[in-house]
Amino acid sequence: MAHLCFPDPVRTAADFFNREKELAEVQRALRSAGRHAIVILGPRKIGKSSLLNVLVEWGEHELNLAAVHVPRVNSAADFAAEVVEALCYQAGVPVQEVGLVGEGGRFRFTTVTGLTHTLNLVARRAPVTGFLVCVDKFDDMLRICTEQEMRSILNLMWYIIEKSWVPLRFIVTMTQIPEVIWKSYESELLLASTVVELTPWDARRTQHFVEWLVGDRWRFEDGAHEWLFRHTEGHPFALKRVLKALLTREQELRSRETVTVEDLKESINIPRRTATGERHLPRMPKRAPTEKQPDAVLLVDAAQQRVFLGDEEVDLSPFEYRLLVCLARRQGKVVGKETVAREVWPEEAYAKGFGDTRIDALIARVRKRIGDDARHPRFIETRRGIGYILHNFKYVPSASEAEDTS
Amino acid sequence: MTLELNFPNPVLSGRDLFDRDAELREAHAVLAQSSPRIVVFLGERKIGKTSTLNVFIEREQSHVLPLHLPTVYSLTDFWAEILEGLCGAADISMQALGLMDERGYVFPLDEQQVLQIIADLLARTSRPVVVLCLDEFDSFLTKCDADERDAVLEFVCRSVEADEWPVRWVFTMTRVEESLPARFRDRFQRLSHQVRLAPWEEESARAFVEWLLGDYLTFSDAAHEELYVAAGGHPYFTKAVLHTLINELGKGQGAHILPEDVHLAVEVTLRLPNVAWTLRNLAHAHLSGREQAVLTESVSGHPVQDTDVAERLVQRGYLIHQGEGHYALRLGLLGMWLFRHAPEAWGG
Repeated sequence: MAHLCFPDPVRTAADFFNREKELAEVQRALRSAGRHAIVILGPRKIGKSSLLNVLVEWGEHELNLAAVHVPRVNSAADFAAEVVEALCYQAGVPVQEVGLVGEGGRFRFTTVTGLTHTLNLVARRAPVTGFLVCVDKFDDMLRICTEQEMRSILNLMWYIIEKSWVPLRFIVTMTQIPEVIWKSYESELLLASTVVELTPWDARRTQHFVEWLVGDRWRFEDGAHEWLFRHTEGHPFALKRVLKALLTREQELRSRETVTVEDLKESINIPRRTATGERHLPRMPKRAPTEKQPDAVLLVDAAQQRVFLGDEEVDLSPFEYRLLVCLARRQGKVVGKETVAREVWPEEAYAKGFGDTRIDALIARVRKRIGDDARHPRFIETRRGIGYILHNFKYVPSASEAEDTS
Repeated sequence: MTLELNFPNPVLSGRDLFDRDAELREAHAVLAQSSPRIVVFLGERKIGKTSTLNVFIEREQSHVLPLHLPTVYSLTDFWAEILEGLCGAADISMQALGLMDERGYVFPLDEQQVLQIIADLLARTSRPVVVLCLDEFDSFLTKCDADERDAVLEFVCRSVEADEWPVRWVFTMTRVEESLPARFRDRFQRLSHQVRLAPWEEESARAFVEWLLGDYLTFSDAAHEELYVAAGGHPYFTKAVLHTLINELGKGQGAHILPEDVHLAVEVTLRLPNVAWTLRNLAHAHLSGREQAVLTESVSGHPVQDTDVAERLVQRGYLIHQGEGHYALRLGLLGMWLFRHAPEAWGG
């Protein structure tokens, strides 16, 4: 069994699962000559810090970069002090040798120009090719700053990236972009960054993740993986929380080697705190509600296994997702119920009657998720007695489909 | 192996900059004359001002001393940045010159003293002129306290009004008129030369795509047209769609791109976080409610009522004039973004 690393972030690539695309994107950015910042974006507890840790590990080994972790500070002066002092530490240079030291022995800077001069001086003496300056929960840090200090920090970072030749790259993790940035020029730092967005896994990846973590320790009974996906929505933290709870009953489960839906139900309902108030399991991450967007285009992206309504991602169960892909792949054609059944429930034989009801219920659920109206359909039109046809959508084929076509 | 498009970075070197030769020549010519002594690279968001400035400085640095200034919000900080930068170039410390105490506090100076020190420090570098560069000068002007802003503008103007000071300025700005306080407008305009960066026309945009891609991808004529409709000849947005084709949709070496590929890439591009952020920032920070309304009207097919605003948007590269009161949106991606995020304004 791979190391569960719960509730802490993953520290090493060996315990990290299925973020190859995002990892490759950041690695490409770090290898490029560009000096722009890298933003790891995603909902709470999705694995941003884990990705950051794995990147640091990779950067140290592959590019001979030294990582510098900036703690949460609320001023540009403290931010600069943290960076300079960490670089000095890595380079084995006393701070007072390269810059001014103020009260409490902290580095203090007078000008940004002077600061970059100092950074260059220190960086040249370090036995590495450059530095990765990591700020986890960067948005939280900006939120505790005054607007002036927030601007100063963003301007400082932008100047170091754009106008100095200090061999350092900034990597930050964020859940949201603070509103004030949208309307300001200081947004430049973020607009010109490489952004990787982490999203929950689809049903297939969720199952792979569980199997990868569990190894041959337990076997999940039929329907257990589906149930787990439906209730954790493919969120790694939520999945690990359930697995952690299962581990507390390991001996019992080991004896029968099979995890049932009932076991999962029990695990998911374990209270977060014990009767004495002691923390037992961390809280499940909250899910942001999807905004309704009238007239938005439906994007069925089979390459990424995601569906969007306008700019909002639609949360779908595996069956709901399969239904949309099944219809989207047959652009402009009416798709019969038998085809739908075969593609949505490939493992089950299609029995007319039972299958019809099941398909109707699934169609109704999908319509609800994408804000469609059966009486005035914008997306899924029912052709009575024949099947369904999908309208107003775009379809991105999966890699294997694209390969077949080419 | 995929093609490296240098997206979303600003360009750092002339070999990566496409077709801004006329604008660069114009700026170099200004710098070669004795006046005006301020060059402003003027253009909309993401049009390539910083890239052009970077290349301009790269080409000038053999005979002038370029100094990139950070954005600070007071005159004394501004002076400190200039002096520290010059000290760095002259390889001497502020303390050694008696400009700063051992705790890092800069001694009070007046304008004449600062200009004299600049000239003295420059003499140590064997360069005849210092070119002080400030990116996004509007940012400074709009965020700064009014007194400090006026003091900085006064300093900038005075430093170039007298012939004796070896100082030139290069700014990038999105808008000049609206950013400057009324009492500085005429004076600043008189002392400066604006080099306008506009989006490319269709032919140049097509050449840009071919220059970027080489033989990695080929585009059908209709695909080029589709791309131009979406990106309007803006380098950033054009690169964004190409980036999507290669990195998100997996179009590999030798692929032939058709309009439907571009159409799909545009949809996916709208969802790239930094493109969505850029469009959001553009709409929120750079277009007024009235301007957004005029963009909306222009795609409805009816004549636009407020033609003054529409003409301004034509100048800024957001609309194309199509005859008496009729306009078309130049940047399709922006139209799509506005449509999705303010559907009520579009009759949705």
